[in-house]
Amino acid sequence: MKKIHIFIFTAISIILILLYTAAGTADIAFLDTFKILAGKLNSSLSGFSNSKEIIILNIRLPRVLLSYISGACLALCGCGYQSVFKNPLSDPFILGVSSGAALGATLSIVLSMPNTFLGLNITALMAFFGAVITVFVVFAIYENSQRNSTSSLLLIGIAIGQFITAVISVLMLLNQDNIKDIYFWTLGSFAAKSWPHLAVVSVYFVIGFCFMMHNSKNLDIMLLGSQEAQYLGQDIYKVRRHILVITSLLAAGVVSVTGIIGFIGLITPHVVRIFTGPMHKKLMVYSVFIGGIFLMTADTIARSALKFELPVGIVTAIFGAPFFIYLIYSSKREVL
Amino acid sequence: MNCVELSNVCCRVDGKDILNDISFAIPSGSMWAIIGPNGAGKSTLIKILTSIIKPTSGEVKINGVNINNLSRLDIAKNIAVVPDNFNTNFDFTVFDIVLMSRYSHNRKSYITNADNAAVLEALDKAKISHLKNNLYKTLSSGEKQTVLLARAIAQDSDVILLDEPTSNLDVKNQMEIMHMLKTLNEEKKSVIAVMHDINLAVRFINNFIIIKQGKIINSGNIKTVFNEDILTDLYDINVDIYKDVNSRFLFMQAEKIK
Repeated sequence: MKKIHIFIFTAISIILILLYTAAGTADIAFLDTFKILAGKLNSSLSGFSNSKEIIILNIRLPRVLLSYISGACLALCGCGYQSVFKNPLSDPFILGVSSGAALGATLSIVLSMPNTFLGLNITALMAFFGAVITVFVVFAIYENSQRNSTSSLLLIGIAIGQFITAVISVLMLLNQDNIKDIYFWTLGSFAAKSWPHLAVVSVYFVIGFCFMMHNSKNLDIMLLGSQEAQYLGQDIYKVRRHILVITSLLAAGVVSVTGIIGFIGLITPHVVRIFTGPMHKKLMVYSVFIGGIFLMTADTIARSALKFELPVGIVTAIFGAPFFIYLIYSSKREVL
Repeated sequence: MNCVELSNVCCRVDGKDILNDISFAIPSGSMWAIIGPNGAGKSTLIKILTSIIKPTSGEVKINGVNINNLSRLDIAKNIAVVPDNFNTNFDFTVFDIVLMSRYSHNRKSYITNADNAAVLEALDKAKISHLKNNLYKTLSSGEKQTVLLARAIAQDSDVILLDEPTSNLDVKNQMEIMHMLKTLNEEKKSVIAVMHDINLAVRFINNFIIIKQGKIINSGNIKTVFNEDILTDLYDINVDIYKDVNSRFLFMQAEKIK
């Protein structure tokens, strides 16, 4: 992992953050945007209208940064899941994180819960607990089934996910007035997100990134299969449990704030693996950059391409899927 | 000191006895082959020696310590395993594969100078330094087996345990692997190899454990362990044994099914 590459990706990220902060439906010139941002560092450059400063500093900048950090988190989770399951179709939502979060959010919407609880957004709280409880139910069933294979865990996760999706459908049918709210929540959005949301997700990211980097060798070895991993000295069942718990909590934390944003966690590790190979230290660092840039770009398109805002999950799929297929066709390396 | 010691080990899987009252001790620094027909329990024995499977009863000791008191990391520090084959779809380089053997020495996310030196030395010993940056999955069977042996060398354990190390290899690669094992044994490593090819094994290995249907039917030095009756009973075929001029090598020729 060369320092120059890290520097280049950091520089690209900063430039894109500045450009995307300048982009939007409100008519604020690029130069003004930079001056407003620079004005925070040097007061002699300030002097813009209060509304422009609010749009740039309190709406666009935290939103752009949040989409970047969220993309980085989801990509990191994807790396962990794909290593544990040795399965190219694994993504952060395969153990029921997304369906559990959606159930929590649905309940808060259909039960018309108050908007906040102890100053925290109740839908986000319910989504977080929904995701966490679902993952722990999946784990409890798996551990009690006395099975060791990851495919059993995968199947339990899929079954529970489908069950919860059915429950959500019933709730939506019984509460048809709320269908639109629930549907839009499940497509994910960064609208109306600000600094407190960014602070929360940043904390998740720092903890998750440190944990995953600390476990980079464990993730490498897991790709060899459970028997090989044990021959090399890995306590695979313990390591697997730790990684799945942390990545699931990380995914739950992000989803509870942003809603369900698919595709990032699935394709980012695949795309990065084509260029870096499978060793996780490199893979995860570059996945963080690429996942962040991908989601930040998708959100900028979602909020500025049309006169109305698109759910970001739609943009990630529309642009991500063809790009991913192109990479698979053009790459000399096997994606997995 | 025995590097590996089994006392009255039994293993039952799904109601079927796979190993039955297995006892043997392998002195440190020696070289042994475990032979027997398919389904004799040889691979199960490897899994028991590495604690992948727990025996139903009996005791397993590694370098004098009960295996139940050893963590998986401790076991890897004592025993390196070379599987009969290992394939992966991931684009691991040869260096990556060998480097992973250092997990039992360094689990941190960075590579130490000692790790790097151990990997390069192992590649050099196995004479595959030129393959260092090649993708593992693109190698031939013989090259893959050599990489797995280099991985075991870099793991730097006292014991190297091999599961049919020469299966699927041509004669040249078989000889190269066996010569490498001999060299490792001369460097005081204990080598235990599950072998199918008796004719090859007897050219390089002096000590044998013969297993049939989960039981040891004979064990000891090459001079005493083999005779036509034992081999005929072992494989249920008629065999002829020839010795070379030094009475060193045997040659087993299958005549016909009994």
